[in-house]
Amino acid sequence: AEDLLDRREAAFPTLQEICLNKIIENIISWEKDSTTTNNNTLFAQLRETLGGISNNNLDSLAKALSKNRALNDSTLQLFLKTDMKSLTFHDCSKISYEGYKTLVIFSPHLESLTLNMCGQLNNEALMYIAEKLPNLNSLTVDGPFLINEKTWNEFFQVMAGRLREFNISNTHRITDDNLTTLLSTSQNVLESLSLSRLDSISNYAIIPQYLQCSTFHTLRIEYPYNEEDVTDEVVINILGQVGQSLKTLSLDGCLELTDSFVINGMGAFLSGNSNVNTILEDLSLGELDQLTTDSLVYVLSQISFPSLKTFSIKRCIQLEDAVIQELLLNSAKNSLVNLNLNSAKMLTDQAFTLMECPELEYIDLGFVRCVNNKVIELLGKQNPKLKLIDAFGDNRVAESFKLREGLTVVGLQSDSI
Amino acid sequence: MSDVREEDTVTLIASDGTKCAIIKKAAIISPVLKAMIQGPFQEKDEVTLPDIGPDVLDKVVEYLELKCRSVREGGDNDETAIAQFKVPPEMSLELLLAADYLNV
Repeated sequence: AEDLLDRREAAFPTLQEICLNKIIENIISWEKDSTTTNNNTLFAQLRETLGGISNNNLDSLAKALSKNRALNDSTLQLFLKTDMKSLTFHDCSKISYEGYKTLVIFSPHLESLTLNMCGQLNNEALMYIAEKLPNLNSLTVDGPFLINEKTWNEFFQVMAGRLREFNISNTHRITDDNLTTLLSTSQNVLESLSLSRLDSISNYAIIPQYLQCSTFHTLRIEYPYNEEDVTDEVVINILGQVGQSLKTLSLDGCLELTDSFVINGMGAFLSGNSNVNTILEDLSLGELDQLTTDSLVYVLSQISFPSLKTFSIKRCIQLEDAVIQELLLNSAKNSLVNLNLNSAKMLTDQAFTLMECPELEYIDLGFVRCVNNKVIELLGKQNPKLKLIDAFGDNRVAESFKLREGLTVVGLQSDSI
Repeated sequence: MSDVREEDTVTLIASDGTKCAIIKKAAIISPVLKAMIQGPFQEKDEVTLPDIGPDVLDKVVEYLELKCRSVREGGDNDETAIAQFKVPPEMSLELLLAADYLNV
């Protein structure tokens, strides 16, 4: 079962692992040999030894390295001296601040940079990023806890007028003052803003007055430190400002939100053109445990969401079958790809009888107690593209069900590690 | 998969048109190749891989056949099998990308 969770088939190492080891081995041996020669020839030698690689492939390379947790200052060398415009590192935990500086110096054309788990990114390296990357307009950072308040302000000042996307999560050192600076320096261009698990931000109420870009498309406000900071009123005001252009709305963990936000916010401002919202693709209302069936049924019956691909009502524990039934009556039924119903414990197996979504690939049914073998088999039969069902904590699901090929069920009690 | 016989082979075609035969049982270790060979859009017994060069493809085939053999023998000789499998450094990057694509 451990293999199942890791999506792994056998203990035989994968070809990817073998290659990575080879690459890392080579880089390290080159570094040892080349302490006397200058850096430039090191890259040239690396390229020569390891074989050329096109810019398109670099992204796949970054993914492969991160997936194998093998991105460090040595493997970072592979990305230097290129004319790449966008770079995503999913796991930077092993990159030192010197590594970031070299990256920035040698890839000056970057427009979009994503650094997840960037624990070693410090003040100096962040300012380097702002100053040495003249085209940068999108920054996503997760866990930049070495960067202090003063540096964030300086960063936003330098980036004034060109920061289109700013997404940040997991740090306690970005403050209300920084948020004000960000919003006031980038108010006309900012299109995407994500604030997740930030312990020192409480004044979310200032956000709506600054969001002025007509193409604003992504808003995530997740897990505020004090739940009282994100109230119905705040979210309704924000939706009033940008609701019509939103593609992604995520309010996971804003526990203070109630039905009022659903009816007066979503109902009023996500209505699109004559109650058909063709823009919204991703709606996540995880852990909003005060929401009730009535409000969501109202919104889903009023507004049609023909583009909705991802919908999450994870741990909205009061919701009942009617929400699912209304969702299946909505045009979203034909576009849904991911559906998360984790811990919606009031649901009964009736909710699933009509679930026939042509595009659905993934459904999380963890801790939905009513789920049994029949439901699993039915979902497999009625949803042709369904690939994965999460069924953690569903103790009525026994091993004996029949599945069609291509569908996996994860989290069964009978699996043991 | 009971219909896969021991002697069945598939032809893989590299970017420059070089053909390379591989036992079907070994090819379907890669979920990507498996879908191409057995899925609804069958490409008969030839699969074109325009992104993979001939040398790299040879290496991939070598790996898949090695793994296939190892699985059949119950994985007892894994370590010696892996030790035999050598990746030339100049190929490692391209091979990594090919491996990522084929998901092996």
